[in-house]
Amino acid sequence: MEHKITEDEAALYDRQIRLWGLEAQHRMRNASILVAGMQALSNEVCKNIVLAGVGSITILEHETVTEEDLGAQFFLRQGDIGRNRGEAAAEMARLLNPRVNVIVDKEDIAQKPSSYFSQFNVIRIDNACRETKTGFYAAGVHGFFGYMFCDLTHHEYREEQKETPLDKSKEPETTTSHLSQDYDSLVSTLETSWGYPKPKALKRKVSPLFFAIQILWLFQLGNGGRLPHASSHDDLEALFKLRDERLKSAQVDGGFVDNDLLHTVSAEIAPVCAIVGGFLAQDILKTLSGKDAPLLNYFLYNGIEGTGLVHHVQKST
Amino acid sequence: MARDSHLETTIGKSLAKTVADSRVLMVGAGGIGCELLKNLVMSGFKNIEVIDLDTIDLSNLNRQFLFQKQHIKKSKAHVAKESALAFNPDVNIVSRHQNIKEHEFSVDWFKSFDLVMNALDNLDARRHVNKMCLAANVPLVESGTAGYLGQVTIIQKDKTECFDCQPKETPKTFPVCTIRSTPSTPIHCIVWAKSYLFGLLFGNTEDDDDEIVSQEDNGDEETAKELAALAQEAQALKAILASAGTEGFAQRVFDKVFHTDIQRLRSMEDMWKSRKPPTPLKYDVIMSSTEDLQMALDATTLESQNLKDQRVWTLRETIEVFSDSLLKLTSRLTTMRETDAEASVQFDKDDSETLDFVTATANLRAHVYGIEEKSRFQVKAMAGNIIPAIATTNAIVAGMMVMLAFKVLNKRIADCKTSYLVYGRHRPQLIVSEPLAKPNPKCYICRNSYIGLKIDTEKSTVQDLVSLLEENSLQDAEIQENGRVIYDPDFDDNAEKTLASLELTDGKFIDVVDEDDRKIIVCLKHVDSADLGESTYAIEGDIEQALEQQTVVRQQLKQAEAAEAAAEHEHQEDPDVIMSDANKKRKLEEVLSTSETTTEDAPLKKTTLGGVAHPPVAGANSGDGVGDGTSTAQAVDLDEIVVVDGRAVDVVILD
Repeated sequence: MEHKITEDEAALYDRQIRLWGLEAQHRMRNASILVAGMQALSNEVCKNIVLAGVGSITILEHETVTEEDLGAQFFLRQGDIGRNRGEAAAEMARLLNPRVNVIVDKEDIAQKPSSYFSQFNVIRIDNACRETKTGFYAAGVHGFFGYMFCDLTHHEYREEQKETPLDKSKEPETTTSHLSQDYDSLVSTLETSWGYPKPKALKRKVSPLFFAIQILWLFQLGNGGRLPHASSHDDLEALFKLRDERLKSAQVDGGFVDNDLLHTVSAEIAPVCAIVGGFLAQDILKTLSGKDAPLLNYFLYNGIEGTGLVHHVQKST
Repeated sequence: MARDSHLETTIGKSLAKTVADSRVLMVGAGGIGCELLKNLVMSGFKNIEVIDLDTIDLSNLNRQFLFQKQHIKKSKAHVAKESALAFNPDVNIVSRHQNIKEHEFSVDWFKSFDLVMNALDNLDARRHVNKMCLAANVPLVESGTAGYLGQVTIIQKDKTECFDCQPKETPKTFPVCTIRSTPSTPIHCIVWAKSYLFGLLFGNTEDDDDEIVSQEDNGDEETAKELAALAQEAQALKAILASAGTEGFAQRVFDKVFHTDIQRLRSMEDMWKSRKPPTPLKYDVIMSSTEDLQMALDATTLESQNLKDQRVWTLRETIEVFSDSLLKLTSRLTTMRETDAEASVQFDKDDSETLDFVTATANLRAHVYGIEEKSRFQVKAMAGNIIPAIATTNAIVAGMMVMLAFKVLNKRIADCKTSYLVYGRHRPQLIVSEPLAKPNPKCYICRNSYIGLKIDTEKSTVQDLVSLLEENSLQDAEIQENGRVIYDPDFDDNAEKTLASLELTDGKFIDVVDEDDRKIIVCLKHVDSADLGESTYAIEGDIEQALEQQTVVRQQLKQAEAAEAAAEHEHQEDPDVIMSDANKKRKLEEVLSTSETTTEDAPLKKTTLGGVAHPPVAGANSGDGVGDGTSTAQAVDLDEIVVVDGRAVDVVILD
């Protein structure tokens, strides 16, 4: 049943309702979110969306807490080492806002029987977003760098514009426009072929980080899901090799992704998680609220340069 | 692997050690502060001092995540410390529930930190910390947010612009007669209710106007007469107050304020020649009207769709809220005055009875004058100067502050930038950065040189001060404190007085200007003469160097002024071709304030850190722009990456 915002909730959420309005708050209150994988970035995202007052959030996480996790995952305590990471995080998340239903699923996502997927109606990305019109975000933090990707299939939203009337004593008039946007799937953005443009020209279209994250994914694929170790010479060599292959297949000049981008790949640090997790949560809330345009479709954060670029990568035609 | 392994891998062992050894001061433990403290304890900082004078309120909990319901009314600084220690017990945090402007937080105290980080929400405290950091020569990370917008920058003496290098907007003021007699907008009614009527009924002094009512009226005879009449009315209202607690009290106050006083105003025909005259309201007439009763009932049935807070009340409801809140507040005041005869109730946007009263009276006045009425939700924002605030903006800004802190501690200030968060449709970037600006040669805060002076303020006289300045190359000095002349060569009345007797005590700044117009700011530090040893004073810092610097500063100022004058001159000859930088900037700001789109390289309009924020403007829409060429299938095997949900779940995040 749809939940109506109560007076108590309006008092608690006062400062944000003043920003996005009661209707947006209402939509958030009736939304549910699945967070697959609970690490430092998802700590941030969970914190932000639990505070905002969504309906429910399900944490899917089968791994246990290690000491290393304590570095940037503020939901965890020394005493949590050895516990399920999702369960430990959920305890803290619930304290932030008792009104939000925080659910933990401790199974390995890879081991889920198909019945689970039908329960959540989860299917593979290539057709899931298309068919079910479910918002999908992928995000990660690697040392000084971070990214997020957004595919909402087809998203309808409204935008409000205030126009100040000539008569200053009158209130500004708000006009609402209804807009929509079609999104490309993750797979089609990866299939884009760039046709060897000059690096400078290409840089205006897409950040080298776009390829750096794909190279990481490829590394994980070939190494049982693990991330490379910055101190491992073999891992770095493997990364450089993957880079050359990937850039060649995407028709991109080999020098476009320099070695430094691949160096600190396996670490999550708190401030970068706060920045990427903040933008990610904000975008999720925007999507849920149906107000304003969500990310289209890649955000790439470079903490060394302090840049946060948005690139619209489209399917090749 | 250890807790710090991710951090060390990323920032390197050497910087990680510098971070661990550094001492940082965090000013403010609110929206940005909570996020910042979390980031600091999770980023290898081991010595943190946090100060905040505020206590926790319910409306903080949607974003200040170190606080929970059971912490309401407790000290922000203390609770923030306890919550953050749970994230990492291996950090030394000192928390202070105090005002940063207090005396004990001296220049020396500021000097004991390697870095200061501002997480403040008001102009006054920001300016204070700015000045203290300049005097102590400690780098300051400054931040601010408003809704989706935010900004982060670094302030370092002589290297960057300081907080006061650019003028800040001052709060809007209204002419007193507009507020008291001729309101024309909802804000006029709200200011009247909050700053005038509220003080009259529940304050303790004669006439305690809020600073937002400016007194500078034309001073003509009519105005004077009108003010006298208003004063008389105020006295009459106070007489009614004596009957608080008796039958019909609320009705008597109502009829006095919204009927008798309005009738008198209405009778002043000159006032209404070009304005719509007000219509007096009578309590019993409205309360016996059946029409309004029906409207009230209709409104109650609407309640399921609309919170009462969010809709405009009917006239009858407004009067009910007026009576109810008036009775509650007068009885509260009576109880308070049993123990303290001078007690008063202050307007507080989070005190629901005071907000009820202000909403009701502002709307009744609006009704009388035919002005649009507002919901309680709207009145709260206007009366309480509320800036909307969300967790995500604060989280991002606090993250960027730590990234800057890393650079500062790594001695890479040259790599730092001023960054803005931008919001809007399909932008090519969510963070826009510009290089740190140079100090404004005209800035009267950071273009000064600061010198510490240890002296026995109880025993030393102004003459002693003048003599010691002369000993240190400051001849024929003029001495001022906060605009007050203490001494100059033609004014020696204070010469024999002790510094303490003139309130020139520990921590005070005095301005010293020498015969060559060079200005040095001297920060007084009281030391007992017994502890000073042989000499009667001790100077901290290099006066010669400071004076040399001031000579340069004066030259720069002259150059800047000359350049401006020249530009102004040429500007007149050919306005389209030549503009000074300042003019260019102004022109651009005009353009930017009316248009949301511009070129990518255009300088940004700055967000004001305090008060109202202007949206910074980013580049043009990114729109389409990629993906020509033909497809060659080389994709990651997606089966391994991602799963997505359908109905039960709206958004999936993959970390």
